[in-house]
Amino acid sequence: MSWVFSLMSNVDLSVQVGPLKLKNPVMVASGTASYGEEQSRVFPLNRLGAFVTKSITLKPRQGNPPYRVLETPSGMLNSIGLQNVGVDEFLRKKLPFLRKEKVPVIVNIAAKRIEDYATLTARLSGAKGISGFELNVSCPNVKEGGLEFGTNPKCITEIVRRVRRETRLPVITKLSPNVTNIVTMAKAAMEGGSDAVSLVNTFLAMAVDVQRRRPVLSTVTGGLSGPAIKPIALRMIWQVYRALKCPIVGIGGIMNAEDAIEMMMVGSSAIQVGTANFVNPKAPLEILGGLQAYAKRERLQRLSDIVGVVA
Amino acid sequence: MNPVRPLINHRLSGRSNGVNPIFQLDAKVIEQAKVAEESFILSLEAPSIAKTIQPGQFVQIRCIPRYDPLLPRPFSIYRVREKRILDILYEVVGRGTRMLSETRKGDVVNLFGPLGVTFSYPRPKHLSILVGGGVGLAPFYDLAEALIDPKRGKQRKEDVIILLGARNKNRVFCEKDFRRLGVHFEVATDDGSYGFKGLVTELLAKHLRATRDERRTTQLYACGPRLMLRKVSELSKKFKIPCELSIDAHMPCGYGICFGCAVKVQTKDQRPKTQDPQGKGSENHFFYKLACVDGPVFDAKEIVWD
Ligand SMILES: Cc1cc2nc3c(=O)[nH]c(=O)nc-3n(C[C@H](O)[C@H](O)[C@H](O)COP(=O)(O)OP(=O)(O)OC[C@H]3O[C@@H](n4cnc5c(N)ncnc54)[C@H](O)[C@@H]3O)c2cc1C
Ligand SMILES: Cc1cc2nc3c(=O)[nH]c(=O)nc-3n(C[C@H](O)[C@H](O)[C@H](O)COP(=O)(O)O)c2cc1C
Ligand code: FES
Repeated sequence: MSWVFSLMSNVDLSVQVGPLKLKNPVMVASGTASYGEEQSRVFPLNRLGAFVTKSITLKPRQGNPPYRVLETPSGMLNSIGLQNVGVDEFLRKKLPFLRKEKVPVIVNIAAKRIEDYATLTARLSGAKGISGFELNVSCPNVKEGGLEFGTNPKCITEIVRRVRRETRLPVITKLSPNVTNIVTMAKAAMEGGSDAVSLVNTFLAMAVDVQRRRPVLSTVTGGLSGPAIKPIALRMIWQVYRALKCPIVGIGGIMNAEDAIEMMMVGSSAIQVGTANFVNPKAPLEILGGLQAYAKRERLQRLSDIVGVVA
Repeated sequence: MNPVRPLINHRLSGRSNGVNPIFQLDAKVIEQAKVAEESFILSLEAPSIAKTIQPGQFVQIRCIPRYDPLLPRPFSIYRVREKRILDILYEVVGRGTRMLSETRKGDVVNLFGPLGVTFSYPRPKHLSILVGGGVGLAPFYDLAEALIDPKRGKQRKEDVIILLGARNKNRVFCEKDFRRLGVHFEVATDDGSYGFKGLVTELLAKHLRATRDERRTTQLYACGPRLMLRKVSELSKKFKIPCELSIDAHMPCGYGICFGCAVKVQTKDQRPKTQDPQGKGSENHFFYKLACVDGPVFDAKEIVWD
C-alpha cells in the first residue's frame, strides 16, 4: 500500500478549525464510532485529527426500539434515538479510555432543553482531556427539541450563547440540513459565539415495508446518511462558506479521500467520516493516507491550501 | 492485508472468548456450490479468521467495493476446513446475497471478523439439540463439530441431535455432512415432502417429551426466523431446559459502533436501568443489547418478544 510510505514524507496536513488546531483534517463523526473502544482495535485512534463522541445527554438513554436501521440506495436510514451512557458514566468510564488513546476528544452533546446544554457543558468542561464541544442541535429522532432547535435560528443562537458562557474550549455547532435556508442557521450559530459549524447531520427520511404495509423504522422517520447525501452536503457547505466564510467541518457521505477533498474545496477546514466506518472499519485511515498522497502529488505545501478554492 | 489489533470486547462476560483478534482481509473464493434451491455454500480462503473463529461467531462480508449495496452482510460460519477455509452456508433473499451467489472461483470478497460471542458448551453427557430453521442451520455444523470434539465440547456423537426445518424437500441441505459427522439428523418439512410433516418446533416438542421421559439433562440451541425462535424459547421455558439463541438483526457495522442492531432484553433486577426514549423516567423492565457484540448468541430467557 503506497500511502503507507507516503505517510512518512512531511506534507503539512494540519488544519485550523477556528481556534482548534488539528494535526490532520480527519475526524470520525458522532454516533458512528461509539466512544472509541471498538475502533481503537482496528487502528490507533491517535492517527485521527480528532475523535467525536456519540452524542452525550444528561441522563442515559436506551434509544429506540428496532428496527433502527435500514440500507437504502447508496445510503442508510437510522433512528438510534441517541442511545448513550449519559454524562456521568461518560466521565467515569469512557473519557478516561479516550484520554489514554491520546487523541483530541470533541464531545458531542445533545439535550431536550436549552438549559441542559449549559449544564452539560459545565459538567464536562471541568474534566481533563476534552479539546472541544460539538453541539448536536439537529438530531431528527427526538421529538421534544431535536428538530425544533435545529430549525429555529433563535433557539440555535440561544443554545450557543448559553454554552459559550460555560466554557473557553472551542465550540462547534452541528447543523441540521432539514431547513429551508442553511445559511440562516449557520449565521445564527456564529452570532451566538460558535467557533465553527459542522454540517451536515442526517436528512429526515423514511421507508415503507410494502409487504406489511407499514413504515420500516419503529419511529416512522429516521436520518439518511452515506454517499447518497454527499452532493446535497457539498451544496450546503458551499453556500455557507460563500456567505459567511466561517470555519466549517464538512460531513456527509465521505467514503474516500476524493470525497474529503471535494468537501475541503467547497470550504470545509476539516471533515468527519461517518457511515463509511461501517462499510470499511479502516476508512478514516485510508482517507488520511489518500489525502497525504494527494497533497504530495499536487505538490501542496499545506493541505489546507485547498480549503474553499471552489467557493 | 494486515491483521488488525485484537478486539477485546469489554461488554462480554466470561463465556465468550473475548480476546480474539479481529481481521479485515480480501478473501479468495475457492468454490461456490449450490446445495439446494436458492441455497449455496461459498468457500473462502481466510486462514487468519479460520484459525481463530469459534462456534456462534460471525463475519461481515462485502462482495463488491462499490457503494450500492452499501453495507456489509453478516454471515455465520458453517464449517472451517484445514484451518484456512471458511464455508458459508447461505440463502439468496435479497440483493446482497444474490450478488454473493454470483461470485465465482478466483473472485475476492472482503471479510471482517471474527465478530460476536460464542455458543457455550454444556457439561459432558448432556443431550444437545440444535434447531435450525432453514438457513438458520448455518452455525450448527461448526457447533456440532465442536460439541463432539474431545478437547472442546466433550460430548458423545449420539448425544447431539440436529433438527432442520425446511419449506419442502427442495430446501433440504447438508444432510450428508451431518451424517458423516456421525450426529443424529432429522428434517421437518412444512408440506411433508421430506421427513417429519409439520413445523420443526413440533418435531422439537416431540423430542423434548421423550427426553423428559428419559430424564436426560438437555441443552438447546436454535437459529432461524424470529417466530421459530420465539416458539423454541417457549418450549425451553415449558420444559425447563437451558437454551441459547442466535439472533438475527440488521447489522450495519457488526462490531458495536453504530448501535443499530438493538435487541430488547429483560433487566435482571426488574428495576428500570435506563430512561425510556421519551425520557419520562418510566417503569421499564427492559433495555437494549447489541446483537453484534452482546450477541448474536443470547440466553433465551433474556429476550423480550414483542
Ligand atoms: C449474526 C448473523 C449471522 C447470519 N448468518 C447467516 C448465514 O450463515 N447464512 C445466511 O444465509 N444468512 C445469514 N444471516 C442473514 C443474512 O445476513 C441476511 O440474509 C443478509 O444480510 C441479507 O442480505 P440481502 O442483501 O440479500 O437482503 P436484503 O435485500 O438486505 O434483504 C432482503 C430481506 O431480508 C430482510 N433482512 C435482511 N437482512 C436481515 C437481517 N439481518 N435480519 C432480518 N431480516 C433481514 C430485509 O428486511 C428484506 O426483507 C445472518 C445474520 C446475522 C445477523
Ligand atoms: C448510526 C448513526 C448514528 C448517528 N448518531 C449521531 C449522534 O449521536 N449525534 C450526531 O450529532 N450525529 C449522529 N449521526 C450523524 C453523523 O454524525 C453524520 O452527521 C451523518 O451520518 C452524515 O455523515 P455520513 O454520511 O458520513 O454518515 C449518526 C449517524 C448514523 C449513521
Ligand atoms: S451492527 Fe453496529 S452496533 Fe451492532
